[in-house]
Amino acid sequence: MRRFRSAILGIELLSELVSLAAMAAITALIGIDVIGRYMFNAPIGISYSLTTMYLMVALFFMGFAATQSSRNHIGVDLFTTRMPVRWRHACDAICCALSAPIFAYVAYVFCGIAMKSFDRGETVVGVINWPSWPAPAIASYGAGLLTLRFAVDLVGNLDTVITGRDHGTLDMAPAGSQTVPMQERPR
Amino acid sequence: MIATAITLLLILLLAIGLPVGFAMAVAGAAGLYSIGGLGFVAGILQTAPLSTIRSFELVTIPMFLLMAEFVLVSGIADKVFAAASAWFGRVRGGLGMATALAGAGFGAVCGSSMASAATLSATSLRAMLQHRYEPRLASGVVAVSGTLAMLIPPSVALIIYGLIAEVNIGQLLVAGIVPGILITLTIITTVAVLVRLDPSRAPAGTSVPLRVRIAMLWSVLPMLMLFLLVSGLIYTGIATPTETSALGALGALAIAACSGKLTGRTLFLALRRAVRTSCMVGMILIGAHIFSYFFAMSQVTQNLIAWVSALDVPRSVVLLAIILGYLVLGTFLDTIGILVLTTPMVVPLIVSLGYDPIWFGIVVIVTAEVGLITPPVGMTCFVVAKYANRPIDEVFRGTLPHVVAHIVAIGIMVAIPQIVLWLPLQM
Repeated sequence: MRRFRSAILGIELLSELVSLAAMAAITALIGIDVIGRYMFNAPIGISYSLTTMYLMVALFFMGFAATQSSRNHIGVDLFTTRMPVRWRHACDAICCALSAPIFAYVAYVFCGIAMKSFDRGETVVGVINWPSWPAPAIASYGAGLLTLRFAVDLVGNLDTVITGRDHGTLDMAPAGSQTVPMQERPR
Repeated sequence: MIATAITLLLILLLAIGLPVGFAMAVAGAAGLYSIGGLGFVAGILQTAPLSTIRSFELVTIPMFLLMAEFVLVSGIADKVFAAASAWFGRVRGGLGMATALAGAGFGAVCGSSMASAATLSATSLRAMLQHRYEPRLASGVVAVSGTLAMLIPPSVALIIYGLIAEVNIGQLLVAGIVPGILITLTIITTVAVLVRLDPSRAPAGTSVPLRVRIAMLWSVLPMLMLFLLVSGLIYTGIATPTETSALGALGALAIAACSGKLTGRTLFLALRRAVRTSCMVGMILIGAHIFSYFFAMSQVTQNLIAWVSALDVPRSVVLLAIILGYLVLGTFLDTIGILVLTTPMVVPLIVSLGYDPIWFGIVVIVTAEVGLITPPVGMTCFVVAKYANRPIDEVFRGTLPHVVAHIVAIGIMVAIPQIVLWLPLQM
């Protein structure tokens, strides 16, 4: 189980790097497009479609799982922080068990959409005819990874509830990765 | 009946710690299932996640968050406070007033209250305590000044409201400027009154020569230029808010690079924090999207509007009840949570009563600001308490006078909507 958990963490990190690259690309693309349009009358032209078709999807869906594993999805912990540790893990297990099926279905359905789109060679007509399949494929991958994260946390939480061993499923990200408390919740 | 049951389910899910985005997705899916079965849920889940994320307007959130991260890397917030304290420091309570100005200045280039409160805690709170300010006064003014970032553009909370309420985001951001100035003046006035009532709370500081004060203004010039770039482009309509946000991020990157503090590691961490906060917001919007489908299908909003219309009370009473509701919600819910939970239902009601949704958005944000400084979930108070290592009850007691002052300011904005609407109407 420990190896599996490490493997998931590694995949989350790599996916998050793609998310970071997408954010940097959006910044550069739109920035250069605007500067090109107003200063040189030469816009890139594809920034809108490239951003909405692929980059935004990559930015968000590739980062959802890492955001969950670092506990950066914001919630109300007014009551759970007052609970005994095992109860907190039990609540978190319920949360994981309820969320996982939704995102498993999202992963499944977008996988089907991507495969169908790929088979048919569907494109979105524009300056460039962009293939349609990458966006649902990325969404399927991101939702699938998030489902795996819920599954790993669910098993970890249940183990803590039963045996009392803490797997760190409720911990925030390590301090080095969170130097500014933009998303920090009071504990 | 179904709507009530699903709302109770949502509250239960939030209470057991399920993050807001997931809780709304789960409760929304359960609601859709109860109305139309599995086919209904499947139909919404096939479209909602991608259609939410692919909105071009949504680009403003990651871009403005990235801009805030680069501004934090540059360390310019320290310079803003240094300049403000040089100008106001010799007045009794001047460092508190400088904190409010620094909060406004930092908020003008950073859309996050938490980041603003943390930054102010590290600079201005330490300075005030060194100058023997009463800790309660000092921590209170830092916590409340941090909330200004939520109101003064670029505000992430305002963009989220605009996306959900389908209000012009450019006008909404510009509408935050005058109320932002009003709230800053409210904080300054509150500090002045507190010090006047008990001068021992804050000793007078030393005077700084005019030459030095003017020189210090130069150090905040990059931040001022960034604010003028962002607000100016949106106000004049030269660029859309989305384009402006990307230019703002590039401008902040340039400032961080010029400050000499931008390294590979700080760049990576800034991008990472911006991505994680963006994903948090994105997940909430997806959940809100699913939940709002349930609201639409169950006709909750229409029923609510019909019910309120049938009431024999003036519209101002309804508005007052809504604002009181927001004040109560703010005591235990995060601002973004409040916005996504209530906007789809309340804004149509407000519009049906004849109020302006842009004006209402600003009133809601200022009301939510009060929630950030009141117990038990006053987020900026927790940040200040943690970063300054002060007791949380001391911070909460310090913010109490500001809560009263904020409620007066909300009353002024409700009584005179032109304070909010004048500037966006000039666009």
